Amino acid sequence: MTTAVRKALPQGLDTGTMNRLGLWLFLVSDASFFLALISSRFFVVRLETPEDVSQILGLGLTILLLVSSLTAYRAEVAAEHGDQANFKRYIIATMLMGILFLGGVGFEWHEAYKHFPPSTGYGTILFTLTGVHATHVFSGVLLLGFIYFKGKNGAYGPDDYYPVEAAVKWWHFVDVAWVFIYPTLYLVQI
Amino acid sequence: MLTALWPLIRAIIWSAIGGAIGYGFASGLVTFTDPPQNLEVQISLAYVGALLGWLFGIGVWKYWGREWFGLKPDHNEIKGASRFFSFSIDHKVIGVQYLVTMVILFLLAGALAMLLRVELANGSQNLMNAEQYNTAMSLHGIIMIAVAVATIMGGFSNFVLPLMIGADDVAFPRLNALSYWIVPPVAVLLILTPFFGGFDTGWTAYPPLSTAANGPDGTLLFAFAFLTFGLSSILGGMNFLVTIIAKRAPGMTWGRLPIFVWSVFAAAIISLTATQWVAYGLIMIILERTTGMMFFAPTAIDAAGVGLSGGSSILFEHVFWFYSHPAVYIMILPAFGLELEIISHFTRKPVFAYKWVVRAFFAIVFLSFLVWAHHLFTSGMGQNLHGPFMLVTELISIPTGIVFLAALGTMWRGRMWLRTPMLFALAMVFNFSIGGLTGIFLADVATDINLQDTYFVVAHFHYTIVGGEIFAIMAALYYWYPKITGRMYNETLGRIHWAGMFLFFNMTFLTMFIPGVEGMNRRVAVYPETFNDINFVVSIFAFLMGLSMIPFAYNMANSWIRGDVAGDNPWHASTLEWQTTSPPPEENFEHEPEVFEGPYNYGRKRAQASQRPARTPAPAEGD
Amino acid sequence: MAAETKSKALMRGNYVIVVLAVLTAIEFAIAVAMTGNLSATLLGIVALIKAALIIDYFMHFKQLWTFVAEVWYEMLDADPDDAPDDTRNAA
Ligand code: HEM
Ligand SMILES: [Cu+2]
Repeated sequence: MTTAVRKALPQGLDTGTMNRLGLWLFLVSDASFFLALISSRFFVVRLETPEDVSQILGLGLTILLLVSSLTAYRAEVAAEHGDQANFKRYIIATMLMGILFLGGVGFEWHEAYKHFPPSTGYGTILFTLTGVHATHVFSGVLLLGFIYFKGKNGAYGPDDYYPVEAAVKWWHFVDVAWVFIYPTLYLVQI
Repeated sequence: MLTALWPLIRAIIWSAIGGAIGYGFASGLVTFTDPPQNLEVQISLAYVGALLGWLFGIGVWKYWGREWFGLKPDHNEIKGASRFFSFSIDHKVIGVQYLVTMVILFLLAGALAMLLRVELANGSQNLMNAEQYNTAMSLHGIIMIAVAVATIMGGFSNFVLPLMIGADDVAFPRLNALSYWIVPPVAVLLILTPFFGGFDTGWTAYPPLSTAANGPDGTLLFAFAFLTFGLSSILGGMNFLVTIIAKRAPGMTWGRLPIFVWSVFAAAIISLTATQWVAYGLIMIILERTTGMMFFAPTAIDAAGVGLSGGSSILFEHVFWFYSHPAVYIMILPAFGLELEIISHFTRKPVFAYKWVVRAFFAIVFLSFLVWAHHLFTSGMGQNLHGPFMLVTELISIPTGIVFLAALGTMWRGRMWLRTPMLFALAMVFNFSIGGLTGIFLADVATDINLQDTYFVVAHFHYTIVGGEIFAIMAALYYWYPKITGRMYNETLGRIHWAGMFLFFNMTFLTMFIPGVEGMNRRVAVYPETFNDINFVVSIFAFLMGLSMIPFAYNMANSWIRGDVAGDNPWHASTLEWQTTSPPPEENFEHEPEVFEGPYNYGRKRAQASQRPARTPAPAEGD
Repeated sequence: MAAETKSKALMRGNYVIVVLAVLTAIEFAIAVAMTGNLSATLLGIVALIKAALIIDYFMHFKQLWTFVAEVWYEMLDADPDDAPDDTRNAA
């Protein structure tokens, strides 16, 4: 992705490998942030989960995000094999599911504000975890949007689909974070 | 000049716009919530807006934005001296930017320390009131921590590390520039804190003090400053890890890396992961202040005031030290690297037990994540945790001891060349041994319960950070000065600086152990009269140590303009950074270097070309 | 990575999502059936498996793993090969 800003690389690994490695390290870093977030739940409210938590909503959000990971994967495979039509279709599908997810979180917040506002222990954790996660989802939607607009006229072929891979990887990462947040927020019980 | 400064001015304008948008947005937001007591929501979003505007204006648009929006990239680099004031993506420029910024911040925070010592010269109140003292103390602390983290990991790693591994630049030059330009907002925020009531929490910002509803807004600014700084640290860590993995010159195998490179690699792992924890800690503070969340305040208490449910301030201490203990190894690991590097070159011997030093570095990284709670022995943390954390903390002494022995082993039977860098490196070995030994008393629960929060702790960490790291930084500044500037510093002034700093540093902080053992509290402006005499003595020594910075500052500034031309390799050192011109050309090396042997092959027959491929250096001149 | 055929890659995605769905159902069942530390531990384990699937199959984890393995291996073996530490000390 880095256009040869200064000079071509005369040595070492190629740019693609470096970019992949850099993104991975950034994900490792961000993962430790989520680790901190999740561990604070067990510190502040232990295993307490109020009755009023909407299990249906939690499960729905989870399914939505997992399925969006599949469509994101399919978009990447399509880009890798130069399948323009499917690439576009799946990127759009993924983005829509992301937006739907954000809407779901918004609804969740609306409900949560009545039952456990931020001034309660569980509310503190719920708003923080979902807030940080939703910010990630939002950034993922933006990234996919960029990819879509750059790629809709066939900018990414089998040899240079790294930006697609990167955006999709970010999307999967957000999904992985939710895989841990879901049981943390909804499923554990005293 | 003005045209050259235009990007900077543009960035300031953008940050004003961003700040205004953030402020307006926040003002709209708070009208929906019931009673907005203070301006903290507005300050927060205004800052976020201003930061984004600043980064956008300084280079994000030019280097990323245009590409994203499919515009033609605009890559005309600024030349000449004004590139130091621009979003340059040359790692050498960025290294100099970091180093100069950090030296200035160091001198500034040093001046604050002088103010503190004036106040502490006797037990009564003389210069500042309690709030002012606390603000000065907290500012001194956090600025020095920033200097300690970023001088090596930002300055030296940027300037010399790519040269040392024979690369043309770091892996992500644009990101590298970004991580430097995140730093000025940090400095600005910190300097602004006194105008927002200061902040009285110390650099550790423990709640409930830092989340107190009637506390000054300065604490919020401080939290944002630290948070922003953390971002820079994370990006830097990532960049150096990839650089070391991916950009080594042909033949520069892992086993041939100069030891400094290994130490940066190890420290970068810590900045990459641990920093996120302090970020979360600060975000919790910000959220609790602005939205009334309950991370640290119990939601229910019993009659005796003990929290029954909800948050607890110990959460912050855990999260904070889960970063800040490893962070002391972000500071000291590369300092170990510098120390070994310089001792090796100035004794003309390879680093002793190189392999074991590398292993020790990684052992330290691993263990440093397991010891954080030794800062919580008196905080009311579970008693059953005391033993394990004491044990693991003391285990760290083993790898640390290996590094120490390697320094001694490198010197063993060497012919030392006692120039200023070497003198500082030797002083660091001496100082750090005192710092490390006093750490054992603090790691030991029984003694720590008495010593916690006294001047003993203050003396301990100044021995490790100043005596250890800052001395190593000084050594490195003198060592690479000719490479960075192309000119030689003044040796006499350098030695005067060394003598003054070494002597008065030790006198100041050795003396400081005494009031500490006798129980004098840290972070107080006024103290019992019994400590008057000893503190007066400490203050005098501290002023003398401050005076020793004058020859340093003068030497650094003056020699840059008027120093003798240094030549490419004044130390006749063997590592790659000395095999190019001083200062190096934009592409670092005329030809792509190729490496055939280890970094410290002094005193062995040089059969083929080596890490010094181009020329055979003349033998070292006498002293 | 482009070595495998497109249909194979797509099939793999389908398998993964099916397993993820099953695991999510198990998760939900655990939460309904159990409480306390045991439930939390089991939930943690299931979440780890789900995450591992996504990381390995969707995110191409081996890109990172190769480097971790390399650095680890080299670290254990780091030695400035032709400059034994103690050449001078022996003299
Ligand atoms: C053998 C090595 C070390 C041991 C056993 C050790 C142990 C400790 C302990 C137990 C404390 C807590 C004292 C208290 O608050 O009661 C402490 C404080 C501190 N140490 Fe160390 N330490 C070691 C090395 C270092 C190094 C290498 C650095 C920095 C480069 C460092 C910097 C600090 C700082 C900054 C504090 C005070 C933090 C604060 O409360 O503001 N230490 N040390
Ligand atoms: Cu510590």
